[in-house]
Amino acid sequence: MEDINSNQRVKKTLAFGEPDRVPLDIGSINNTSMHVQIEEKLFEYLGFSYPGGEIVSREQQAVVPNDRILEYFGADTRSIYISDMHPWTEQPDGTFIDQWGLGLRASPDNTYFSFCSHPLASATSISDLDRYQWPDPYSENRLAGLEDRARKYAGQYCLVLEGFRESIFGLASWLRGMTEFYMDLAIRPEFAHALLDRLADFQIELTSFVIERIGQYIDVVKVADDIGTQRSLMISPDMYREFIKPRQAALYKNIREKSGCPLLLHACGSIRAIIPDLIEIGVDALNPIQVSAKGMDPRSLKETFGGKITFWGGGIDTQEVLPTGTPQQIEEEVHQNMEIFKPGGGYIFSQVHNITHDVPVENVVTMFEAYKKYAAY
Amino acid sequence: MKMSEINIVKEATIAGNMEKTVEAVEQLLADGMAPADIIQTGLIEAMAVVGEKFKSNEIYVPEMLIAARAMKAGLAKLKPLMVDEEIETLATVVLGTVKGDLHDIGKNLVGIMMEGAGCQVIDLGVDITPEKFVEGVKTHRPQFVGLSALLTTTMPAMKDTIDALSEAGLRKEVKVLIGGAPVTQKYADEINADGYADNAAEVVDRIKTMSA
Repeated sequence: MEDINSNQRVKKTLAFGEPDRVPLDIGSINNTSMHVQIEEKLFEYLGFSYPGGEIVSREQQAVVPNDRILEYFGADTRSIYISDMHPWTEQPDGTFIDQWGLGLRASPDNTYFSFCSHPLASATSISDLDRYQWPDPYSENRLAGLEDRARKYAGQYCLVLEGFRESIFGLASWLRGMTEFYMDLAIRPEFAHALLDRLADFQIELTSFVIERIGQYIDVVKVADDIGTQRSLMISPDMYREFIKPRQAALYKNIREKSGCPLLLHACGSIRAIIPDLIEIGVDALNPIQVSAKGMDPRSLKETFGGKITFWGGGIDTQEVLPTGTPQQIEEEVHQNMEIFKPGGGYIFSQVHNITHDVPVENVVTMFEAYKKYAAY
Repeated sequence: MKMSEINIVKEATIAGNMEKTVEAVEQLLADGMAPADIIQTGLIEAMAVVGEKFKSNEIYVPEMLIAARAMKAGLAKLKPLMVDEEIETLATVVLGTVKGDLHDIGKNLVGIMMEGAGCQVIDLGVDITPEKFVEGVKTHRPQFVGLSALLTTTMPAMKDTIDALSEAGLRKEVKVLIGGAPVTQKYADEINADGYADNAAEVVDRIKTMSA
């Protein structure tokens, strides 16, 4: 096979062709990256001097991985991360408010942040939604420095446009609070529809603006919307189809048409029941492929959906195997999942989710070495 | 008439219709039914059905939340009318998300199902240190301690909590139940927890089995 570069490698697999090897994603999105402490330990392990991490996902303390790491392990992707929740404003009590008015609080050991207040928690009517101060979709803040970064990597690597967050279901839950929003869906449907329509309209404006400005450099656009739990969906498939799917469909159509790029969706957990819906509304690639969740086992996913959607993730379980497995167990799982997902392309390797701070650095290195050993076609 | 009225309470609770639940409860009280009976055969039985439906994916989190809301509204009408000795408790549970972890939706659903089954639940909240759990056990003398964690990085606090209970001489006084997305039966066995469930409804089954 003639030499291909990273950009071509990822393009080929997304088109369900088999390139020279399965492409590798390290941190092109804030779900395939690593905790800043892991990056530091990797630098130390590899004998490099650590310049400090570029924390992009502040609430997970996940980094835009340093180029040294990406080059060393041979990553094929690069993130083009719009500033999604910043600026954060610090409050007197040590919490932070982001651009959406969401309150965030650090965990006691500062390893992650959680939501502690929700700007629409006390909304009771549609006129409350009208009064809410939406962020500015045209803020230049989001794009600062990105054009230079994109130009540096365009054509060489697969550039992933990241930062549109949990655009529909997730954001509605964050703005209202999970409990209130889920009850909205059940007993205040008119309000829920109004909120979701406004969210979809905002996201369409935002994505149009960003894609117009830097879409020319981009190869893949990523959005997120977590709707699964370990064993099931948070809401019923019917409720998803009534409330969420139409708005996702409108947004994803806008993204794909304006960018001309494949769409990558991040949706954690057991989401098998709606994968056909996602394919229908234009999702080209799915992340994280949480292999430990019910119904998300690699073999049956590949059998049912192989050739219809690209599996972006699923390389190794991060709930148990990566943090606590032996080197042998880690290599075995990488190998096994690789053999299942590889055939016919449509597979990009990444560990299921961000590498958390408690994972031994030897396990991380073993994983990347196993990837390298088994990635070739 | 009472039977069909009690069914109205049940069905309204299962459907998450708060207004109808309260209306039907008030009707039954007016008809002379004992509050404890309304709770047991109306609300608690309704939540048992809700639990079964949740386990089998017939309903999901929104339906469970509104059923709980309806149940609580019904309970709010009934509890003030009951003298202490009439309140039958299935078990007392001290519940919390472990140290370092701020996630609570799963824990809250567990609390809902436990209350729905007639447990007295003391929810300590999130980021609960082993010491606070020990204090909670000393104060409330529960039969069960429920530990929740969403992160692999906070799961070890479950073992720390069990160790703290042992050190305080309380381990044998309580049954420790654990749960949360990354938690497994295997992990429960490893740390000698007394039980594990992978969903909020099943926790109630564990409590009923262990209380028998």
